[in-house]
Parts: sequence; C-alpha cells; structure tokens
Amino acid sequence: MAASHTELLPEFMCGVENACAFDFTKQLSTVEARYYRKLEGGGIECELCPRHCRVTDLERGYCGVRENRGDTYITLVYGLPCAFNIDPIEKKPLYHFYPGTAALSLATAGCNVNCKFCQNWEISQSRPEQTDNLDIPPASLVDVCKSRRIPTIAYTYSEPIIYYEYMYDTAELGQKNGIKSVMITGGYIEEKPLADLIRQLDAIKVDLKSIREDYYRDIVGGELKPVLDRLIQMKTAGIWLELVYLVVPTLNDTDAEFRDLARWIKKYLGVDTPIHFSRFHPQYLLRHLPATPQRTLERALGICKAEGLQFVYLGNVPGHHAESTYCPKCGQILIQRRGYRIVQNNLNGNRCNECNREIPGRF
Amino acid sequence: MRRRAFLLGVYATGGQVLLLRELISSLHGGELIIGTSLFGWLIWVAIGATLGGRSKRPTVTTALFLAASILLPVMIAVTRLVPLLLTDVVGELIPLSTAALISVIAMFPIGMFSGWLFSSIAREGSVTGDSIVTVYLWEGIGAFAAGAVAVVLAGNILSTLETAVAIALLVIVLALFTNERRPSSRQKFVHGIVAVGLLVVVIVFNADLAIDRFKYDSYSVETSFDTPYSHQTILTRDSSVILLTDNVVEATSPDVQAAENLLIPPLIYIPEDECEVLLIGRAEFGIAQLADSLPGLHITAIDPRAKLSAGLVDIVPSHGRVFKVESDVARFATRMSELTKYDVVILDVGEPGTYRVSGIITSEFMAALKLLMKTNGVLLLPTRYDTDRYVTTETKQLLGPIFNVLRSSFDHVTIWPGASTLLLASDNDCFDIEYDSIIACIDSLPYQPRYVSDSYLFDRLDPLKIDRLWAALNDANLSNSLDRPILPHYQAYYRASPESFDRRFIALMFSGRTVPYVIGGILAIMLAATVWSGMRRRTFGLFVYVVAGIVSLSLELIAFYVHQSVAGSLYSEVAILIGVFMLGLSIGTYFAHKAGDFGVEIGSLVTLLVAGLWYSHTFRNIQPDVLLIYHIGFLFVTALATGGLFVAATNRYYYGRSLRNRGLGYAVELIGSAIGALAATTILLPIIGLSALLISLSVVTGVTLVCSIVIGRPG
Repeated sequence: MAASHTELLPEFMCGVENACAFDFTKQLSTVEARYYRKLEGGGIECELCPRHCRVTDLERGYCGVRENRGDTYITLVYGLPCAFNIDPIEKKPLYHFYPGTAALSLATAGCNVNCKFCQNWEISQSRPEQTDNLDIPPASLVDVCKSRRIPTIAYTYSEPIIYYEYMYDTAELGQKNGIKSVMITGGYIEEKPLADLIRQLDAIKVDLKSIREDYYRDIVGGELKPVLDRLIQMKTAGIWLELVYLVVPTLNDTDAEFRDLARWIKKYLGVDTPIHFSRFHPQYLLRHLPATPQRTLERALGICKAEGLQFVYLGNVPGHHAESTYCPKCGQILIQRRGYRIVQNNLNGNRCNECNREIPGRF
Repeated sequence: MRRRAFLLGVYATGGQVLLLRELISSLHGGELIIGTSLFGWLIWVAIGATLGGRSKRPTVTTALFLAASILLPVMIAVTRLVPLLLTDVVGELIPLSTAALISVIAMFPIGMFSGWLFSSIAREGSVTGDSIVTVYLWEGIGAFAAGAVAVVLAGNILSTLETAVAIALLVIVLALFTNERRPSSRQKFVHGIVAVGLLVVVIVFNADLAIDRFKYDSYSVETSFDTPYSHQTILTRDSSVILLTDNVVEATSPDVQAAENLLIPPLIYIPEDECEVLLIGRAEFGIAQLADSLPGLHITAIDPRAKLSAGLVDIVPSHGRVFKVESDVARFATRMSELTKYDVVILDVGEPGTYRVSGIITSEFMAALKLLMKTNGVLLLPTRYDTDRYVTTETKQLLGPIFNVLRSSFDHVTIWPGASTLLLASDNDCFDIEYDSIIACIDSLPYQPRYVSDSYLFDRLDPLKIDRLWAALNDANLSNSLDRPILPHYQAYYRASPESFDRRFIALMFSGRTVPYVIGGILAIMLAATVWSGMRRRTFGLFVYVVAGIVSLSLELIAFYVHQSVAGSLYSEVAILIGVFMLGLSIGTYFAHKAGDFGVEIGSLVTLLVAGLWYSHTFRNIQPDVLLIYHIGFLFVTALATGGLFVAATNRYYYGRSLRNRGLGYAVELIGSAIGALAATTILLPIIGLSALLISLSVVTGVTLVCSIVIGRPG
C-alpha cells in the first residue's frame, strides 16, 4: 500500500516543493554499509558496534537492518525512516543546545541492544519489513529543514547507530547547508565509526542506562565499558555532550549508583556536563513496574549536586526547579523552562547576564 | 467409600479452582489461560487415573490424601513465585505462550493426585460393592460442596492461599475418619503435626504477606489480600504508593500526570462550572486529590472491590469529596440509569488484555453507559498506547477497534495523541475547538495543570500527530464486541516481542481463518470414519465421545467468557461454576447408567442442542444481577446432558464387550475435551465470534443427533 504522506502532513508539508513526493514504501534499501570486513571462507564481520556480528550470506546482524548479500554488507533502512516529527529540542532532551528551537526528528526500525524498558520498542525491536517506512532521501530532509527553517535534524527514538550511513550522509549534507545534526544514542558504537561521525555532528545526547555492568548485561543486552569509553572519546573530541539517566525503580536507583555515576562523570567528563534524570514509565517488557516516584529523582539530584555536578536536571517534572538552568557561579536563573516551553532566557550569548560566567553548550 | 469419594471431590475441585484463581492472578489477570489450564487438568487427571488403575498394589488412600493436601497450598505458593524464575525482573511481562505452558504444568501435581485417588477409591468401591458411577456421583457432590465453600471463602473471608490451607486441613482431618478402618495413633499424630504446621505457616508467618515480601523485596509490602475480583498487593517505595492488581501496576500515588490526563481533558469540553463526574476506577490515586482543587466537580467513583477500599484507608489519604460506590459497573448502570446522569464518565479500566476490560469496550456496554450520561455528556476512554512519535500497525490494530466501538455508540469522537492516547466521545458536537480555545479553557480552571497545559500540549496536539492518528484510525475496520472479542488477542500480540512465537501464532490465527476449517475437517473425518465402518452401530460411539467432550468443554468455557465479560467476577465465581458442572456431570452419569437405555443418547443430545440454542438466544439479555444463577443453571443442564452422553457413548462403543478396558473411549473423549478446552474461546472466539461458535456447536450436536437416530441402537 502506498498512501500519500501528504494526507498525514498537511500543515507540515504545505508549500514545500517536492516534499509531497514522500510516500510510504515497502521497498528496502540496498546501499552498501560501512565498517565491515569480509571473512576468509565467507561471511562478513560488522565493525560498527562492539557486537561485531559475524553474518553469513542472507543473514542479518543483531540490529536486524544490516544484511549480508553475497558478502556485501548492505543497510536496509537507508532513506527509510518509520518515525518523522518536529520536536522541541527540549524533548530530546538537549538543554544546552539552542534552547527553544525545533528539531526535525526521525528514526528507522532496529536497534543494537534490547532494553527491557525501551520507550520505542515498537520500532526499535522491529525489522524494517514490520514498520511503515517513508521514502525520504537525505537531500529531501535537508530541503524540508531549509524551507521550514528548522535548524536541526535529530537522529533519535530508536538507535541511530544502526542507520549510520543514512545519518552520516544527511548530517554531512546538512552541514554543507547550515543544518545542524544531533544524535540521540545509547553510545554502543566502535571507536572508528564514532570518530568519523563526530565530524558531521553538532551534539550528542547519550542514554547512559546505568553505571553497573550487570545492568547492561541483564536489562539492556549490551556492555557498559564500550559506552563509557565512547563518552570519554566524545568529550575529548569536543562535541557538545549531554547525558540522560533513565531511573528505573528497583533496578538502577540506589544512592550508591547515583553517587558512582556522579563521580564517574566528574572524573572523566567534567562537572559541567549536563545530566538529565528522567522518569521511567512502564514500557515494553517492564510493563508491570511502577513509574519512577519524583522523590527518587530528587534523591539522584541531591547526590549529584553534592558530588559537585553543575547542571543536573529532572525530566518530565514540570514546575520543579530542576528543569531550569542556573548559573553555577551566581545562582541566577538562566533558562527557565516549563515542560517543553522556555519561559525565560537570561543568557547573553553563552554567558550569564548577571555575572558574565560562561555557560557550556551551544546557544 | 462414598465419604472418601466426597472428600476427593472437595479436594480435586477445590484444588482446581484455587489453582485457576492463582494462575489468573500470577499471570497478570489474563483469562486466555483458562482453556489451557482446564486442558492441563484433564490430561493430568487422565494420566493419574491410568497410573492409579495400573498400580498392582492398592494405594493407601489416607496417605495419598495427606500428601495431596500438603501439595495444594505448596502449589499455590509455587505458582505465585514462578514468574520470578522466568524473568530477570519482578514485574517483567510473561509472554502468552509461556503463561499457557505454566498453566498446563501447574495443574500437574493436583491433577495427577486427583486422578490417582479416583482410581484408588473406585478400586476400594469395587470391594464394598459400589460401582464406579457411584464413586463419581459422590465425587461430584463433593466438587459442588467445594465450589460453594470456595466461592464464599476465597476473596471474601480468606485469600486463595488461606482457602487452600483450609481445604487441605479439612481433607487431612476427614481423611482419617472417612476410612473404613479406625485411624491408628501414628496416623493421627502425623496428620495432626501436618495440620498444625500448615496453620502455623499461614497464621503465624502470614504466608500471603511473606510471599509478596519475598517477591517484591525492593519494596515495602504494606498489605496483600484477595477480593472476589482479584489479588491485591499494596507496596510503598520512596514515598510512593503502588497498587498491584493481579501483579500488574494498576495505579501509583502520587502521579499527578496520570490524574491530570484522566480529569482535565473531558472538562475542556464541558462548559458548566458544576460538573457531575462518574469515574469507573479508583479515585484514591490522584483524582480525589485533584478534585480538592476543582470545587465545581462532584465525583462518583465506582469500583466493586470493597475490601480494597478498606485496605487503602490507612495507606492513601482519603478525600471526602469523592463519593465511592462499591458495585460492579454493569449492575450500577442497570440500577442507577433512571436516577443520576453524569456530565463526564471516565473509563479508567486498564489495558484490554482481559475479558473483563474487553467486555467494557463494547457497544453493548457503551449503550448501558450512555443511559448514565447527560445528552451533552462526555466519555473519556484513556489508553496506554503511545502515539506520540508514530503509530505502528500493532497500535493501530488495538486503537482501531476501540475507536470503532466509540464511533458506533456516539455521534462524535475525538482523539488526543501522546504517550497515553486518549479517546473522547459524546453525542454533543463539542470537540471542534481550536488549540487556543483549549488552552484558554485550561487556563480558566481553578487548578492549573502541570502536564495537561500548554507546556506540553503544543507538542502533543501538533496537527501532524493528530492527522497521523486520524489517518490510522480511519483505516481500521474491525470492532470489539461481546460477540467477537478481539482486543485480548491483539493486546497479547502487541505486547509480545516482534520476533516471538506469540506474534507468529496469533498472526497465523487471524490470517486466513484456517483453524475453524481444520477443526471442522477433523470432525468430519472422524464422523465419516465411524459411520462408514461396517460396525457403525458401535464405532459411532467414538464420535459421540468426541462430541460430548468438545461441546461440553466449549460451552463451559463460553459460559466463563460471558460471565467474566459481563459481570467481571469469574475470579471468585469460577469455583461454583466448576463445582456445579462437576455435580451435573456426575448426576448425569449416575442416572444415565441406571437407565442404561438407548434413549439416553437421544435425550442427552437433544438436551445439549436445546441448551446451546437457548443460550445463544438469551445470554445477551440477562441482567448482571442474575447472571450467576443463569450460568449455574445453564452449566448444570449442559453437564447433566454431557454425563448422559458419556454413558451413552460407552454403552454404544463397548456394547457386548468387557467393561474393564475402556482406554480407547476415554482417550477419544479426552481428545474432544482437549479440542473444546483449547480451541473454543482461546482460538475460535475471536476469529468467528460467539454466535457462529454457538451455531457451530449446535450443528455438531444436531448432526450427531441425526446420525444417532439414523444409525439406531447398538447391537
């Protein structure tokens, strides 16, 4: 079935030349993937993420979107997003990256981990044949942003690393056209592909799911160490970085974990790295856990503040003081937020308008 | 021997219904496993009876009763803890197929013991001159007694586990005194020690609470108890109160976001300052607190779990402005529709993965609900489906039928996308409001919402998202109804991992509708094979066995389904329904055996046919107040006829032959029962619907009747 996307996006697409050509498609892409090597005796080894899937002919990697066809590894989701929205940048959340602006947000099917609490499990745990995909090549995404004056493209929802090629090419094209790119990721990627990608991106938000290896093994289906290594790599490369820690009741919410997390951030990323503690809502396989109490988030906030972190935020608690940005030097409220709205902005460029202290981020 | 048979009835049916209750509760309230549980029960009883019958030494039934009694509460506890073994995290979803497997396995020990005991007691009976049908009759009377006791005790006075211990104690004591011989001192001592031990575990250690504390070790378990509708556990952690119903999170407090989502959106479409609100659900977890800030609201909260209200009193602060009604909503609707009319009705009933909730999301229920609403009243149906960023096919499959139910019941329906998709319906044309007016309306409320406010709504009510959701819902053509409940299966499909067995199985079920043809084909082949045989007068008996099994189990499960969908109280009342079914079976068997006439076969088939047709014509019109009596009557008559049919099948197939080896007849009957237990409601109901299912059963019965008449008497 090829329903015209114009029916779904009347406001959004109005007046955009060629934008009305976006249709749903059942075709999968055959663009060659990057970062893999051919194995002696047949098959390939994917070198994009630490899984290093060894894939025989006509099989797919763990992510379900990269397939070996005659020892050529191809990406099946190039230009085929299954989710497509204009989100406030605060929703990512990125609080130190052009506050109050919009981000064209997209995702394809697939993921390289299997978090039991995944908010986007309906697409992240699906194969591209199981989702309704739009046919939107990189150039069209950039055109839409330019014509709608959307400053940023966000690769988000599922895990963008698994549609690396699509993200990379779009970000590269966007960069040439003055469109910024941000990646919302779990950070489970190899060093080389990340190093190449960082040059095309403007900011990264990493979901650091826990500071415990066993949590990554049992609940996420991945590994902690490569994620921590990549966080250090991102910080070293100088790209703007924010962290999110999803607080799941009983699983990663002890004082000791919050303290270890804060100390690790302080030691390796610096006290000025923003961290957002967000509420867990019952999702996917953890349907029968309760939502995170506000009190738990406040415990995390208190511990991180006590450890010296300067920008600690609580997500989805509107009206709470911890959804706003304060000057670490004079305590002046710099950006007052309520939900996704910016109520007040007291920044002068990237400096506090009270004490002139430089505030880290991109403003 | 008769007293022992009675005791066996008490034990077997008590064990069966209590395990069934525990399985429903431990496996998150899903009734789809009832069929598989009954299937498991039949299989294990058959195996137990076979092994017991083949045992060379007569079994000491007193010792067997003792062992079986201890196992009953142990199995309840094990079933409660099984989810811990199968998941990494307490609260993790258990796939439907795994749940079905657990339900079969869980029936193993009690089923085996029951079967073995039956054989042993029948063997004892043969010594004292009692026939097997007499044993069966007394077992049936015991089963009815157990059902009646369980329906009174479990959930009302005792928990499932406590009721299991009560039955175990009864059996332990009576096993001593129903023996033909006087019990020895040693027997009395052993039985006494076991009985005291069980009492100590339940009373001194409060086993219910201890198990939940072990299970939810990261929380503080405030209380744990049963109601006639569900198992309840109340937990606290980090100043948050969590209400678990059948081990599923029903509500948490404080949860301002959830409470605002329920109360604020419908108020936008009601212009009056004074507003009568009917909440179908619990008010203690946020709604009542919000109501304190909205003085014009008069909230009536309706929920049948009176024990839960009492249990929450000391844990969640009470708010006097909410008027609580402790009644089943269907009964409330029939009684109150003439007296009170509401501006807003909020249906906070949870996900439609159960028959109870599925029965609410039907046009039949909406019609009853509309009687409670003012002409310009607004209904809110909150869902837990996320349509904020995309609408997947699986979400569409669930939201579509829900939307169509509302669209067929109300003149106007609107939708709010978001992490929790909301559907609002009214006969008044009130939903055509611009975004700015919505915000103005919210701003004019005496309470300023934190979540249902412009801070989030500008994103949530983005026209792109609304149009995307409308497009998805307008595509949907299926609807959910009492006749064809598709939501529980779609819910199981939605919750299953994309590559899982559950998804593949359910997809296969709904695609092509091959299952009904396969079952029909199997029956046709069986009929043909038995009728075309040169010894058709005898071999037709095998087909009668199959029909008795299929039709009786199917009708039993259909009655369970309708009862739960309309009254929602199957959790407790399944005890009396199974008890009366067992009684009917045994009485039917007993008197048919006494009669020993060919007329029994015709009479039983006619009774089954009439009962099925009568049921299909009447079940929609029965008031909830009399539904239990209606189903007791229906199941008793059905079982009576089934008992007669089993005897008739035996008389036909084994005509002129030794009565000792009836293995084939029993096996064929088991196949029929298994098809009925597994296929009727679990597979066929959502595919062909209840009316077609009842007609199909009537056709099968009718064809058998005609064949019976044409073929004539055996011999």
